[in-house]
Amino acid sequence: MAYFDKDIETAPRERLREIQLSRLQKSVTQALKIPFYRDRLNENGISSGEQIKDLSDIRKIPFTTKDDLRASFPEGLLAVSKDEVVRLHTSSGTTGTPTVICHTKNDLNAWAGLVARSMVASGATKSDVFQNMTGYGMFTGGLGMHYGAELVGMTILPMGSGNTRRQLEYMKYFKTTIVHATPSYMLHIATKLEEAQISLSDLCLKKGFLGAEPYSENTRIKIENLFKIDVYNSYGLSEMNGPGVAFECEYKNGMHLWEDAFYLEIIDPETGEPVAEGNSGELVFTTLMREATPLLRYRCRDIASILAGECPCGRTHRRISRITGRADDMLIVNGVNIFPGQIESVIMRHPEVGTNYQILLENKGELEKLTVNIEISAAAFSGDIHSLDRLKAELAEDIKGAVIVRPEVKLHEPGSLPVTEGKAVRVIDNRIRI
Amino acid sequence: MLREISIFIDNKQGRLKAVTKVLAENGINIRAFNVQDRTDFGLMKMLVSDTDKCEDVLKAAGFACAIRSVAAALIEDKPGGIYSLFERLEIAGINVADACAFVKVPGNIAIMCIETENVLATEAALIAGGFSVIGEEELNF
Repeated sequence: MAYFDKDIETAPRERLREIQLSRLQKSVTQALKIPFYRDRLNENGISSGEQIKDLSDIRKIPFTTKDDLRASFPEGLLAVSKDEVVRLHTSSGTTGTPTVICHTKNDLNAWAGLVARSMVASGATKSDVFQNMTGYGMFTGGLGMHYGAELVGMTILPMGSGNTRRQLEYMKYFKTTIVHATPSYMLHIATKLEEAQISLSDLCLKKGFLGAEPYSENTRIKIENLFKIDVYNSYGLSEMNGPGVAFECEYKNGMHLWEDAFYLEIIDPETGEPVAEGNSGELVFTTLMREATPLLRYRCRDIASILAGECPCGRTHRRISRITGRADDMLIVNGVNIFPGQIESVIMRHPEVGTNYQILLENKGELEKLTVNIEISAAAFSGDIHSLDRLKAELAEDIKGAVIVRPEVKLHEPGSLPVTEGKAVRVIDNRIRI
Repeated sequence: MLREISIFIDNKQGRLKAVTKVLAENGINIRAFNVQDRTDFGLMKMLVSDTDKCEDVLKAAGFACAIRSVAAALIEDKPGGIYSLFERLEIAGINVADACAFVKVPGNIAIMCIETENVLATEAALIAGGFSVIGEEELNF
């Protein structure tokens, strides 16, 4: 069993708790440098990190939500001077406004360390050739996995997403051993092998780090059989850097959540109270190592549970289950997070369409298709067919600009989209769960 | 100049019927009829006997409709009838966005409607070319 950071990864629970308490105090101290947190914490009687005497004192701190992050855009919740920020990542807000997370050099190093630790837990070594098939850019999956792989010492192919033919050819030429992708993309490229005239015997694949969208144990097994590889589930979110929050070890039985970097609580999303041990609920994270944007009790809206028992790998950081749902209306399409509110914001900006729309999600082969059905506005209808053509194209372009995934836009008669019991149904999800 | 009414309809069963039902129930007669297909939707374009009433009843029934002006001229219902009109428009440098033609007196007179950027300029060009530009009374409702 190889560890990237054996001391921390196998630290006894008692020592882990000590580390957590000390880092939590520092996080609170750091957060107090941010006006938003200073006001919030002072309102709740906290004016210094020292007041956190026990891990349970964290409950004196109110939750942080995505709306809090949206409200701080574009400056963000910043605890250091702008000069110290060496990178920022934005991610989709629930409506049009994005959220921003800033990073210092130390933050980036710590993040890379968590990803490296995750990769080594799966058995990856510097001899591996790593093909990163998710988008680079603001999407934290790309750069996040890249810097972790670099720290491990793997040879990286910074492919980005798409261009399947080239992905497969490079897998062959450069003898890729590990891929990072979404599970739906892996299923998709499996269907393209023949067309690219590549067979499994041409490839040297050993492992797949798959995440960014939920998938079942059955799908993991299916992908493992299709490619003759081991698949490791990867979990992260941009508010907690990106990838490297939780990851499966060689035993592939739940994802170890790095508890020296994140303090985890699981709450009932309705009441905000902690759930009974082992029950599922909303994951709430507190960063323990972040300098630029510390986040306290961030409600991430993902639903999961903590798996009981010790892992034979020897790591003492507890494992979480697969993410089983969301406490909000966020959708994931081809690995991309989309809030219906973002699409609604775009639609509202176009006076030629009304306010009634419906998002349709379907399978398209192994990938997913997004269609946005929108009613036109009777009042704004001019009878000019070319302006309708332009409107359709503009809406598709604007929605893509907002949510990254290119939608098919279909225009409809006013009052024609179905309502259920008088209420507009905004999302119809016909996808088969993978 | 004639007034053409356009109606937006979903490309699905029953929509053409639904629109024409409203017209039938309200005693509105159709002189010219066309549908433009855009895959998920279409545009019905018609010349009708009472354009304003047609718009009112269709809007009341929940349809998106709009009235646009088009140039219209009398042409001969003989070989070359339409050709000579397009020849005239080309000389005048006028682009045709859409057009439809129908017979008024078989073997003798037909009517050609042209949708262009500038209806008045189109009419002037047609008149200069010797065509008779018409109004609604020529539709014989």
